[in-house]
Amino acid sequence: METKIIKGNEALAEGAVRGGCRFYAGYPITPQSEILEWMSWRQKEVGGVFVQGESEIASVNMVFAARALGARAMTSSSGPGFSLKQEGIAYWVSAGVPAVVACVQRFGIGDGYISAGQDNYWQAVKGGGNGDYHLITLAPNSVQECLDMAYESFELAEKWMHPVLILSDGTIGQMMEPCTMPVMKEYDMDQPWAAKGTAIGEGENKVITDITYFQDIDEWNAGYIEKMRKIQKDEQRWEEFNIDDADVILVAYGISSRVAQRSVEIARKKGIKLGLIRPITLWPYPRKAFEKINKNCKGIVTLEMNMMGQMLEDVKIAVSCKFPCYALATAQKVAPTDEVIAFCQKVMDGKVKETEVF
Amino acid sequence: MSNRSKKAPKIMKCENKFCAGCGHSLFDRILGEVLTEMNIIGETIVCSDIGCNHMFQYSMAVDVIVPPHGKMGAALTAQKRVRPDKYAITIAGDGGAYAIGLAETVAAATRNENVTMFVMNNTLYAMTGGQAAPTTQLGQISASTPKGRTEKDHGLDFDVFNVMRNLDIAYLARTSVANPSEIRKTKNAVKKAIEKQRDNKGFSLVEVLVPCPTNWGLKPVDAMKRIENELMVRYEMGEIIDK
Ligand SMILES: Cc1ncc(C[n+]2csc(CCOP(=O)(O)OP(=O)(O)O)c2C)c(N)n1
Ligand code: SF4
Repeated sequence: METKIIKGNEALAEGAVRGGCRFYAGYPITPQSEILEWMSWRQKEVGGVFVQGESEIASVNMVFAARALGARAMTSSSGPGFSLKQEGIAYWVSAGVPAVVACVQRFGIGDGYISAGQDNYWQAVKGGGNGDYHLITLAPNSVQECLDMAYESFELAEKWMHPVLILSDGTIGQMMEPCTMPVMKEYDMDQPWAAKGTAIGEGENKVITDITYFQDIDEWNAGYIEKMRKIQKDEQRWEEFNIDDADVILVAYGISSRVAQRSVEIARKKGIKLGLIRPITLWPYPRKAFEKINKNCKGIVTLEMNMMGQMLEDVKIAVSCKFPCYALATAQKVAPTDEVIAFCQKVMDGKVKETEVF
Repeated sequence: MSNRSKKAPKIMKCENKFCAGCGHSLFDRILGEVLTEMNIIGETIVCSDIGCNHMFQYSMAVDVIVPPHGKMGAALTAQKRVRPDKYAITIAGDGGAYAIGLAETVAAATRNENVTMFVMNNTLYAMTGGQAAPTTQLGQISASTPKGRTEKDHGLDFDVFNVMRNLDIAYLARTSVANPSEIRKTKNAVKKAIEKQRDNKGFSLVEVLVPCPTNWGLKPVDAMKRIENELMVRYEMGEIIDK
């Protein structure tokens, strides 16, 4: 297999293409534009379709249609553009359309800034659009993972007939690392569920919409909630380092998890017992990882690039508030390792007040 | 006396759910006949809007996808790009196509996408209870213009011909369902618009003036008269682009 040094965003785009993506629509926004730019020439090379939509709203709905007709289709955005996609994504969910969206997080409210951030967490994992849903949410922390997650995303979405979100961030998206390229997957878009035209006498015509229009709503609800429960149980993924004997456990995803892991390594050398849980799926949240925490653990600290410590509430739920929980939320920058270690030391010494959940 | 009523084509699989005298049902029947006569039902995927117009889904046996309200211009674009051998057609509301989805409608036209839009102009938002749409006429009373539409408060009404007249598209026409002669013209325009797509000529849009007796507060016969006496006089009718 070939190895290339490329940007996280390019790896994400290439991973999707090799995973069978043959339709991409998007709209320029920093720091995700490399995905769109890569797709603009790459789709042509592989016989797929690239459309630069007139807006994120148009793009997300183009993906709905392309996917409803069977093609593996995706879109991507950041910040305000990701907000505009939410209505469309809710339609993917209710119609069971297994499309993929990537959000390369930037920091800020409204237009915000073009630099990296992790403050789309709530929007990404708590719904985003209207109605009872979460997207299956994958959080890469390396260029290789950008590629691997995009490569796998369509099969994951098709397994559940439910959309997948890849929640990256501006740093992971922009940095360059060596990346191993897997083989191109073949995909037949003439899936049994896809709309491709039904002649009279050929069987029942397909209507790709909220199933509730054509089915008893209670029956539809029951099937849907059972599916969501199953995803919640079966798809939790995480990585853990040194948690068995840890006095303080860090929890971080994406770029923050890289700093957290380094902090654990440095602290351990100094005899400070830190551990790390890195959620790989943000929904379903890897609650199972938290079952292993030893009862002498003095605290759990989330490391996040936002102001409010958005992930803290999920940690508290995961441990049923049995451990003191803190957020080291450092807005638009990731805290450096010495700051992380110093903060954890203070937690160990009982010198920090528990962080409030907003 | 011979019975001259035509049997409905098989694509009309059951009774429709529209109000008595609703123009949408007349249009659906016309479209059903054209798809049947062109023998392309199995090659057609209709993109639905959301509105009363979307109730064609219940009575027509054709593949359908339903994106959010108004976003048909975007969805049709993708439909045609991923399955160029299939017909990408929409039945749209005037609220959907000209208000919430205006950007998508015009963007698809400016790109001259090889798709076909049929827009049902009933001069209001029917499904939500008869509020004003871009097509609500000056002076017209609606649920959200209780004293009548005025230029000062609501702006001028929308005419798609003014927006698309100079675009490089394949076909643009306006017809109605007000009388047998108009129904014939509508059927002809529907067929022509789909033929443009078949021949890869590009974007086509047919606006059809349809009655909504329920929200107009008129009997079905009087609703048809309103179209003949008011709307067909106010609007330029017929084909204005035919390439
Ligand atoms: C985003 C969004 N806004 C509003 C609605 C509510 N809504 C449903 S149908 C409709 C109006 C439809 O009017 P029109 O497009 O003219 O079609 P008609 O009902 O007249 O056939 C509206 C506003 C919606 N479904 N989605
Ligand atoms: S409310 Fe108007 S548009 Fe809707 S079904 Fe009734 S007549 Fe037709």
